[in-house]
Amino acid sequence: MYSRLAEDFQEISSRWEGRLLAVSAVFIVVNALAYSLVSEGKISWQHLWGPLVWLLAMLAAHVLLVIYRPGHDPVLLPIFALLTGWGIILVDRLAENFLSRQILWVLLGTAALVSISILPRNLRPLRRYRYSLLIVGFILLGLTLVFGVNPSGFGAALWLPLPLPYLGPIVFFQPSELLKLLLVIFLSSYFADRGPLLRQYAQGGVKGALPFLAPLLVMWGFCLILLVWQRDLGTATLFFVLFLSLLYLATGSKLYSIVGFILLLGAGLLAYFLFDVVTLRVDAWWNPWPEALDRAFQIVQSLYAIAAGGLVGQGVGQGFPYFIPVVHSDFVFAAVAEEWGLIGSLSLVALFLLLAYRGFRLAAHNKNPFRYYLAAGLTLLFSFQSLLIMAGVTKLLPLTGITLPFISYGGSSLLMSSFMLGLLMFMSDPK
Amino acid sequence: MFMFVGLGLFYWNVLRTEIILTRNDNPRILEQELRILRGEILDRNGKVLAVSSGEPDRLQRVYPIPEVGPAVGFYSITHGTAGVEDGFDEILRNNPDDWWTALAQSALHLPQEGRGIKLALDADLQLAAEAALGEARGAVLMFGINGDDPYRAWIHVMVSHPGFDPNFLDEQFEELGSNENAPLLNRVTQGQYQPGLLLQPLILASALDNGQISLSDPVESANRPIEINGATLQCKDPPPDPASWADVLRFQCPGPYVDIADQVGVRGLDSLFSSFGLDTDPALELETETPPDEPLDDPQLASIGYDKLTTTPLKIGLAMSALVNGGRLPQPQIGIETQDRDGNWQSWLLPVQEGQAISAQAAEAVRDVLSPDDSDLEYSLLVISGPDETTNAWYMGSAKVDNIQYVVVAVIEDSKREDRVQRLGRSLLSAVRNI
Repeated sequence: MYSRLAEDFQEISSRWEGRLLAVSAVFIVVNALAYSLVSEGKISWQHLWGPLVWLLAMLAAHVLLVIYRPGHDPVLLPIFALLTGWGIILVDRLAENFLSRQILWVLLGTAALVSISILPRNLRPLRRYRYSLLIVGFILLGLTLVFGVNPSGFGAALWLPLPLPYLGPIVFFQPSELLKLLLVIFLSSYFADRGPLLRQYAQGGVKGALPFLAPLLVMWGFCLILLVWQRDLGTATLFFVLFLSLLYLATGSKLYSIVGFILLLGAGLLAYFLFDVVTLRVDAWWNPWPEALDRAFQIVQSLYAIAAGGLVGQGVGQGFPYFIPVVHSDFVFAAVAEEWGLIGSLSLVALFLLLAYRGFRLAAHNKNPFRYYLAAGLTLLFSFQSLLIMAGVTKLLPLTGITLPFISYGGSSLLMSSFMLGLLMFMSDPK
Repeated sequence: MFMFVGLGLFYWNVLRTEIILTRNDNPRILEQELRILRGEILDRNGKVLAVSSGEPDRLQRVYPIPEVGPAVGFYSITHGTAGVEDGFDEILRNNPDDWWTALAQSALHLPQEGRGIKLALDADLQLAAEAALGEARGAVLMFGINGDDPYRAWIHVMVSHPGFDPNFLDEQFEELGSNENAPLLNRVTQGQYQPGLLLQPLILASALDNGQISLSDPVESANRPIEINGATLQCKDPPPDPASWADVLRFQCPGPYVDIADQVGVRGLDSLFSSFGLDTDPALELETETPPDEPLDDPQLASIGYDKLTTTPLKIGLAMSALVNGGRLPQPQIGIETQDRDGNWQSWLLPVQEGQAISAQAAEAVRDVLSPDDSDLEYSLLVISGPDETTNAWYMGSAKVDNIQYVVVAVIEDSKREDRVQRLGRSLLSAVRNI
């Protein structure tokens, strides 16, 4: 009886996933055709091969997941598909030179997502080797202090050059992207083991819980120091907020959150006076208009792009998003707002909201504490990362210089985000 | 938090759109401007005076006959518009006139194609006037009044020297702006000149109209000298003795006008100048200039065209044309046809006010005094002008060809060559007769 019900559910589920993927495919292919017509005046293979490769990859992912992980969440793959497909259209539109690489990263990301979803039998190794994994992350991040480069030739040196075959002469990998995942795994594992104790001692205040918090704070603090040293302040902020949120989930103590929030403000204030880049970003956020053509150029151009979009947008290829420096990476959301309008940008917000909803739902339904914290942590990571950059682009918060998951150009980010989504999909299967 | 991002989008995308998009530093304004195919500007014979060309997203304004620059004006992304380009900007751009069309144009990215205009300017005559003026500073205006439409003056020639080549405006703008000879100024419509005895025929016609004088009345001491800022003004040539008011006009004697000023006073002179439209901006499609309306202080000085009086060649020409137009004061117009939104040419007629400056009899009487054999009116003189007492040479002439009364006004600045300005004016009237 149960097995029959489960089979029916899986059939319905895979049908829904197929339908949602079909909707995504229609959206992506129509936009690719439209962009081809706008930019070339004809249907051009140059703008279609990427979406077609993407389509085949998503089809393969769907088939593999239906066969090998039939109980997975049917909404997550279509979200991944729509976001990565949209990303391909945007990279083609905004940074044509990077299109081949982005497609390759999407293929690798899809492979990672599918592999993580279907290959592991369980997640125990992640839980067991949390310190080792995090230390590997530290080492990689530490290497950027010595060997780090910035592929664009200026700005923070956050990438390690790797001579990987078939991926171009040199592949640039950003260890902080891997560290995000490793930190979530570490925190989840730690809270899963020590959560009940922490909750118990947290009632007696910070002093009582300190012995249990100490290893956690040391690892997390080391992590932040490295990031601040590296001037990757956006990721540091993300880690801080993620840590506070998971700590709140683990302890249920509002005190930690309030203290943490005050610490965050204090750190922000300190950073404002210590780091030029923070001074610049806060000033540009507070009142960008006097320096619209100078230091606040990027955010002002972003606001122009959003305003130019109107309700339905200028249409793909018909706006002027390239006035925004590094639009294909940090400011891709502004490009969406300009060319797909309020409807398009709100749809994008809704997609991340839906991803957050499915992730938290998954966490809430998971009885295994490690999986509970891991699902919540990964979902929080997706949510905070997307919110921080979207709020920065719309001038709700100072800019943090992080990518919009799955959409922005960037291999490390896409690969790690796919990895994390793969973990969510793995956990979504009750088997 | 997701809701706040949504609200942030709504704020910038809907509530603040207008303010944001119209900021000068928004490069989208420039990009959209570069995509507007402005309408062509043609002369009355269909010769192209201005046209937009180039790639659809990088259109440039080209002026095939650069000598008409000051008349046609310019269109520049950086420096805005001037002249005809400015006066007819709405038509040349063809901005959508209703919300729905604007929305469709914006949403579908339809190219904005402007509408053409045809001017009364005659490129050939314009070039002839340019050549006749040579390198001298000055202005030339010629307009025609059709007998069937006597309240409208169609501008055929509008030369201002030194001028500029609108094809190189952006490159030369700084230099043009700082040049003391003001090449960006259209002297015909904006140049302010002291009129001096240019106003003589008008004052006389008005006095005649009011019954203050008769042209045959004898005038005492017609050649009496008048002192202005240390300079002595007298008749151009000694008049007969006894002289009549007709002689006073013919021999350009300043002294007797003081008697008229004493009779009519400041108010009378103000009213007189007003009736000839000298204190108001002509309703032309182009930018014109009228100095602030300051009350006259000294009626005697005002009666010989000094005191605080300044005027433009356009206003002088229109006022003088009343003498050959039955006393009617015409309104100037430079556009004759515009394209409608379907591309069809439609006549372009500004509403006119039917103003009568003086009676037809008074106008005819004064015109007869100034009429040489081969022309309907001719009046030329040297006017001391400005604080540095430079002398400007003026010519005003009129000829009737078929049913059209052509009027020419020319001024050469800082020149005592009355013969030169006469030749220039006459050559234009002669060219009209030969067309």
